[in-house]
Amino acid sequence: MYETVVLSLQHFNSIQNLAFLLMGTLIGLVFGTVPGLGGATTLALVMPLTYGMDTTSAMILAGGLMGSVAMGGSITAVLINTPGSAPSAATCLDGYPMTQQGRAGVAIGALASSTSLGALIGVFSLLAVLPVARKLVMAFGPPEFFLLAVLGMTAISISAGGKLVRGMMVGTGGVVLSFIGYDAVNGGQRFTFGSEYLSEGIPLVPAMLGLFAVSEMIDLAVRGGAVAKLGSKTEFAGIWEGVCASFKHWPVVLRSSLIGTIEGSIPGVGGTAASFLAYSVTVQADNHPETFGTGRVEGVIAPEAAINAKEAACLIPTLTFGIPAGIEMAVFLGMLILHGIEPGPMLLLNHSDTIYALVIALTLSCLIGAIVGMVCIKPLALITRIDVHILVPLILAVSAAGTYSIHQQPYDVLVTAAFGVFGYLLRRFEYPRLPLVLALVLGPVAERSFQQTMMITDGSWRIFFDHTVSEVLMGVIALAIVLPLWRGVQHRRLATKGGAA
Amino acid sequence: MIEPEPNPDAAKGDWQDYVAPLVALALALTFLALSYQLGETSRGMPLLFIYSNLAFVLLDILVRTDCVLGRVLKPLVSPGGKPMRIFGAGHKVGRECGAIAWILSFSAAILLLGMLIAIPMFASLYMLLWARFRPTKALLGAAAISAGIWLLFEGVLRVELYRGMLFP
Amino acid sequence: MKRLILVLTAVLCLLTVTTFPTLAGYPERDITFIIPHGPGGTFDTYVRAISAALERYLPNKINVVPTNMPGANMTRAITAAYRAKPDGYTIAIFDIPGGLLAQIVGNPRPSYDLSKFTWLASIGSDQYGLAVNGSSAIKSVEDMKALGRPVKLTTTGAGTSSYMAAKIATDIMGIPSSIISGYRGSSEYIIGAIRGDGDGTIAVLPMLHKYRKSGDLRTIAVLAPTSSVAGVPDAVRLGHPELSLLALHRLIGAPPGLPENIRQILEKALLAAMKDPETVRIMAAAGAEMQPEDGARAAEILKASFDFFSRYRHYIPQP
Repeated sequence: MYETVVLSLQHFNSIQNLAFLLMGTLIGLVFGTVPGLGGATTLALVMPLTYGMDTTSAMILAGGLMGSVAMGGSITAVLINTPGSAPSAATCLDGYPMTQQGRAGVAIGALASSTSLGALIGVFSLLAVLPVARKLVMAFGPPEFFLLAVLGMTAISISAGGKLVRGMMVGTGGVVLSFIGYDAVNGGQRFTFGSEYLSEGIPLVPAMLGLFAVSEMIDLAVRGGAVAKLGSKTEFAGIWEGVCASFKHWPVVLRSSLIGTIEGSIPGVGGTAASFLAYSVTVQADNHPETFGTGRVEGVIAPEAAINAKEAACLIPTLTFGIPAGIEMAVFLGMLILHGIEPGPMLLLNHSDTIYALVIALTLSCLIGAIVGMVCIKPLALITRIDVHILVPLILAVSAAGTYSIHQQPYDVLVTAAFGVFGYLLRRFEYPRLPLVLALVLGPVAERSFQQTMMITDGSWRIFFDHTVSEVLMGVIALAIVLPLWRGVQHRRLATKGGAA
Repeated sequence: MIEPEPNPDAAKGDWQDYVAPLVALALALTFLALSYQLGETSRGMPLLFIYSNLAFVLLDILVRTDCVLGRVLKPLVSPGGKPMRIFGAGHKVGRECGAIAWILSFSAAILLLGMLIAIPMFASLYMLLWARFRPTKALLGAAAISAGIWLLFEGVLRVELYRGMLFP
Repeated sequence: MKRLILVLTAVLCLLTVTTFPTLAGYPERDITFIIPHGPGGTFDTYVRAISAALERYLPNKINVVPTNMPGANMTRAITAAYRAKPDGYTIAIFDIPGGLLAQIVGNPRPSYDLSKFTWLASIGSDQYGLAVNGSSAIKSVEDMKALGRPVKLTTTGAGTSSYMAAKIATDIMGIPSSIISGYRGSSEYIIGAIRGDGDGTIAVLPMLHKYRKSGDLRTIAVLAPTSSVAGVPDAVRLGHPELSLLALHRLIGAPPGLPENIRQILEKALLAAMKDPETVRIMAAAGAEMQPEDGARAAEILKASFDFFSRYRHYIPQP
């Protein structure tokens, strides 16, 4: 295997392939910033261009693109609360508050370094895992999907801080909203009010764009002024601080990358869950979970490390079973077919150098993307200083066009607007938004895999205690619930002691 | 489940504090009614979450009241939940409604007239009427935004932007 | 006023209809090719390959633009194609029985009627096979019947083509079954079968062949007139020749009322595009075979499919 890796490295000797790599990276970065466009759509749009290219060059272009698309989307998530795609929405949670405090540089630096570290860890774990990849994919079935989703949702109660009831209220309500549409298990429609459009359910990307970007635009339109506080001029110093932050918080990077690797390698949970799960686990493991959402740098590091680790890990099911782990991979498989390569269980055996060229391109593109992002931070950060009344129509129009371009579905624009207003009202009446996002992402996974589990076992719960993986997950969930409670009690005791003294 | 309904006489805040949870209550009850029209297996999960949602909504209402239970539960489950105000307290309700109205009319305009008309129209009107820019600045800004979007989507990405219901 | 506008529009339409074809002839602008699924995946790749070839076989140089319209179990794409103007600038591909099932059960009544489409061609059909985990103790259909409990098959949600195939096939063969539904596509339920979520699955044969070669799955019945797997019984040998009617068809159609001259141009170009060596090469890479057929045959396939699945309407969940 390692000889093949070295062999595929030689593809990067040629100027032509390096140019394709750079081109892919830049295309990814630029189109990644367009809200809603995302990796799959961009890849599908670029696909016809690769028709005449030789296969390896095409893979390098695709790898460059796939590696940097998320970075572009995360930069806008940090700067203007506008995620380019659904996974980047997790970066908004703490990245945007940092920008508002004039710490955009720190956030971008942290984003760039954790993205690169995540990608590197992802690739190394991909190479390390490949020999046992089959076992990894097979170890996660519906019971484990269910437990993973539950683990992600436990963050609802913990991150809510002093607003437990409100968090749970929004969370449970969000799960109910996620049930709208076609019932994937039992067939039939639920809560669609007779609308053909709603039978698809609430589309995730438009909802996220609404909750983050549009609700922020409403707030800006009300307040006026600029995004960042005036008089904060520390972008350059901040970048370095941010880069170092990822190394300082290396356990967060490592843990999130592993979460990304696992989520990416199992088909059935979806990539968006990876960044949110990494975020929520980081919140749970922290000593001050209630301070997340107010500009904690770990809140940027965690999802970013997960996003790019996931990117490499998505190849695991593709290489071992020829099965796409997400929509982006599905488009990529289509591209392979156009180039005459049959995706399937034999893919790695027959076309290993092409595949490793893709993996290397993915990693290099993350690094290049990170450098480009850091170099461009100064002009990019200007966007946080311009008059919001120029920003508001610009972001709203781009969001509308981007939302529409995903499915050419005009009603998606309405969903974006509705969730924008909803998100604003939640904020205005001091209800947390994170539970709603987690519920929309994880609710359908939880329901589907729970029902499947019950169909597999004929209604017995014992399966959750029968496998090592599910036992471990149950343990982690128990910890995730108990640990913060115990910590809260400790804090209170300390506080009363301090008050008494 | 938490049973006691809040006693309006015991309310410590005024009616503004209750608007949000009462809207949530209405929504939850609507979904509850709809659930019972579904098949036995389809409604299992929704019912579980709707009932727990109802419980939390009622709890949220309860801790806003001044009754004994509310006072006991508040520090346990909602210590950080401050009473809510719609008016006053530095809120500019007029501007908030205005901003929401702009968003909603923009999306309505997109649906009816299509993006090629709605985007320049919204951008210029917003900058003229809401931001009170000088007409030249507003029109230039709107033209730049519209041209940029048109170039990016129709030109580079070859996505045909929505043309509107009125122009099929 | 309103009437005047109507009359004027009608006159204008007439003018365009009568003058333009004599100027250049069909086609004179880009053709939209609707795909009822998202980008990526075999179905999407089929259409992209055919679209690229189609451009070369149409009388005029125009673009054929593949447009993904996923959603609502194909309803959205079918409705859009059904309501489009029958001018030859909108064509669509459907997998049957996918959109047919909603029409058969008719509750809620879909706003389209597939039998009214102008059918142009059929790309080909995939027959199903019954497979079990490669390491399973079940070696044959008889073993499956002798399990002493319902066999568990993984598949997509209730009311989808795959779900119907699993239900109907086990019903015809007399195998008691319990379905694990809710997987989001063939790749997911095949992984499920390999993982052991259930005893096995029913999937289209090209898909099963891939995993038979790798040893992950074992095909124990081929639900086609002749068996393509050595030693595995086909529908006839199983004693249920009607099983071969359970197939996934891929038909290309245009909105109802397409003028016959345009239909013929499209049909001819499509048939040529499907036989184009480049298309054949791409399809072979995708592991799929093509059996190009004309529009008349496509219409027959639709009719046969409708009649067959109507007999099993009780398996389609009522909302």
